[in-house]
Amino acid sequence: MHFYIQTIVGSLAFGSVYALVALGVVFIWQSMNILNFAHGQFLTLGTYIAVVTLHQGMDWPLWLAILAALGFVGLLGALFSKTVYERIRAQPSLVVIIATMGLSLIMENSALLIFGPRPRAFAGFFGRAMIWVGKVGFLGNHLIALGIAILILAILSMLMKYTMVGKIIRAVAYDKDTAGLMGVPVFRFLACTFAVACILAVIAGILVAPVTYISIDMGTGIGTKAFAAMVIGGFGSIPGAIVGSYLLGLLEGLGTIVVGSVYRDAIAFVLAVLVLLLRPYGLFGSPEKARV
Amino acid sequence: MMKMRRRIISDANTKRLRFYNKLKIAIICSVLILACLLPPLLVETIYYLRVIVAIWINAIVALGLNFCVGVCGQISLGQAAFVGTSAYVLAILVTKQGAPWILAILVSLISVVFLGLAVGLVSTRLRGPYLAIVTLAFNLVFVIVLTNELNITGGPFGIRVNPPQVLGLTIDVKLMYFLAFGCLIALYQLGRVVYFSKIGRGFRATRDDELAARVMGINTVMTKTQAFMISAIYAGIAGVLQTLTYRFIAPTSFTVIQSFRYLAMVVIGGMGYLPGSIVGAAIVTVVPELFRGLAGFWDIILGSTILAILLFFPKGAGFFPEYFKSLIARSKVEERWTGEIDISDI
Amino acid sequence: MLQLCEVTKSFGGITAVDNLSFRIEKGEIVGLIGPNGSGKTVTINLCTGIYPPDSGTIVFQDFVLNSLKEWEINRLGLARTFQTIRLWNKMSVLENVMVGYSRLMRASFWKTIVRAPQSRREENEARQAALHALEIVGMAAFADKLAGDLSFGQQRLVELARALVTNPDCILLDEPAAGLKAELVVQLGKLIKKLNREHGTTFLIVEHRTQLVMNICCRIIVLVSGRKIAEGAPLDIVNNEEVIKAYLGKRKSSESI
Repeated sequence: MHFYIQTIVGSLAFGSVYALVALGVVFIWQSMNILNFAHGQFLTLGTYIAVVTLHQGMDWPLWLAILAALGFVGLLGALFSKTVYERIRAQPSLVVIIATMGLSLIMENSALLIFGPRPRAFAGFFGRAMIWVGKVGFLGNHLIALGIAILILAILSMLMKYTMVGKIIRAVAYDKDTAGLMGVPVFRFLACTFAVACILAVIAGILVAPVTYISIDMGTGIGTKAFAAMVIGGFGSIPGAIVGSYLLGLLEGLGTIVVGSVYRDAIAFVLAVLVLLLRPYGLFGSPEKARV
Repeated sequence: MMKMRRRIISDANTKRLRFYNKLKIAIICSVLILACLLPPLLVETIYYLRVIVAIWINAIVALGLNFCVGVCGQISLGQAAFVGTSAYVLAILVTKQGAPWILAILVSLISVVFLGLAVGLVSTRLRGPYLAIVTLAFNLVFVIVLTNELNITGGPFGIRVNPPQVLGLTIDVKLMYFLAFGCLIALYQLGRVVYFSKIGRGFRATRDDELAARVMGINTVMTKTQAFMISAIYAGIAGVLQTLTYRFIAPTSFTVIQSFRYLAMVVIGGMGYLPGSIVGAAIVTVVPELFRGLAGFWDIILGSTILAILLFFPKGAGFFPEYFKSLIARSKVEERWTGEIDISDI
Repeated sequence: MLQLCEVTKSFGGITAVDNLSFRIEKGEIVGLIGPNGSGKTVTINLCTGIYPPDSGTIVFQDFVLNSLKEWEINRLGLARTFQTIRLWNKMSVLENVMVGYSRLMRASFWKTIVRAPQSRREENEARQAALHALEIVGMAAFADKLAGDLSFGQQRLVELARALVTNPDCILLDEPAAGLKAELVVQLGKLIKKLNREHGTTFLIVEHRTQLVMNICCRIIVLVSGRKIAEGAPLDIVNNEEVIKAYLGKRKSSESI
């Protein structure tokens, strides 16, 4: 029994990580109509910079390293969005996909060259410490991941709903031409949205790093699963991405009990395909949202 | 006006010009083919021959993928999984089951075709990004299964195959060279036949405007399924050739990165441009061999090349023939459209 | 031949077509006019199977079209042109029209691949028919040009050729005159009448400018906000008060034929 509760909490923690990444991908999809296959790379890059370069390499305090990495990757994302992504937007969707895959390849191999192939360990805030609630022990890092993710999601949704900036971002995502006509500097906001998406990805990476090793391919793995989560929840829909991510995390964690840990990664994709066969637009999706 | 029009279309001049054009192309092709047949006879270093055989095999995969992606406009990120399916089915049947080669080859090809059919049917229900993720997922699951089912697939260590004996000769690289090249030529010709047939027109219409295609009588459900099946069968043949040539297969040859490389071949060669796929395959196969020591760099260069092409040069290698054609006057026919419809002799 | 029975179609909150009913008999040339946004294109889309009606039935030659796919409807003998031109830009003009012939090309996949005699014969037929159709509209000299390279008016004609290449029983024309010069529109009208006379092709012409329609249609249906407000001979329509009200400010003098 305790084992199941632990597994569920752990799974939800992973779900949180997927949710942060998936949210970013949905933002980019809604605002730019681009499926960003390179998103996982921003995760990897940011995590490496924060932990390996700044914290472990240059002995910066962790919180400062994290903030610096977030800023850096955010700026990088904004830069990429303006230069690369804007240009490929106009092309048919297949071309866009290949382009982002190419970008992903470039980024992954650059990271490989810079940081080397060896995986690193990262203790995070809790190390291996467990937090005990009665007789059930939870991995501290799991709880942190869950907690911070929920906090961020809550803050983000409030920002989106209630602040001017949030409303503008939503307006631009919905119909950027009209927003432009209303005097919104559209490109700046698109870059801003992209930056936010990248920052979310880096946070996700830092949250998951203590639980799994930091490796060059951590981003691709999580990124692809975030895609699967998005697809399950319904493409292009924000609640869909979040629900899909948590659902995926849960089913992955519980499914591993059944299928064994070697096939853990496969669960996400098999699920995605199954869901699509039954509901081609995912649980919350609809044809309009998937429109390219 | 109609009579003059008809005369222009069947003008003797044009006929002669077209004949000479065809002759020129035929001569160039023959020379190229002969040139390609020379290396096994002249070169002794097995390494170089293997690289060229790799070009032929990759070209076959790229051709198939080009049909699906370039000619029909369907997203397929899992081509390597098709190649891997036939390669593994063949290897498993031959080594673990001791099946005769001919039978094993047949079974592996049939299994790939069915797989292509399945993926194709799934593709008809899904649009753009969904299809991309499903084909991606398919490839990922494929590799995971391959890596983990040690008993059946040999896991990450792969499978070693003993080549068959044909007429007392062990199949070696030189023989495979001719076989692979022959398959490439045959499949390329087949590709041309399909491209210019009603099937090919159906594919291209589905790509350029699916709605119009459906309304004009094309069963796009069938065209999409057929596109995937064609890419699967080409990949299947390539997989068989691969197993025969290298006598060793491992999951690393069929990952998503490899699928991306196949896509790169299609993009560099020009999407929808059949000869270009061969060029693209040559480039993507050979250049990493030139930079053997700098593996990481090569992938960066590959990715950057793709990006550059997509941003600035969407037609890839297909750009050149069209450019040259527009430079050289093709016919002396004058276009005279007076802006009238003449209904005098319908 | 073509009959709509109480057909309704809504998109979101907007009712594009509201309880529409009309019949078209074999051999008629019927016009469908109405101001912008009155649901004319939606009607054609419903008839060609692009989306199913929410309620009501559409019948074509004793076949109920409601749940049929677009290509199945096409194979029954119903062709159309598009208001915004939908040619396949990367294919040649000839290939574009040959695709229109596909409903008569019945050779199977395998036969086509191996170039069996049936496939070759059909390919030749398609080619001849396509050239013939192009000659009819005067575009035969452009057969090998890429469809995307043509001017707007030329593309319209190619689309028309594509629709008539198989001599379908019924052709739905969606604003065929838009963007054409006046003389060309007159020629187009003559062409339609000739096809109607000699091949018995039934036409439904959607226009929101009324010049062409008034000249050649034997009957006109007027659609406003998705509802049929009038139906009858051109002269009756012109004098119909509802119609005049709908086309605000239209005066009789502009209707001179």
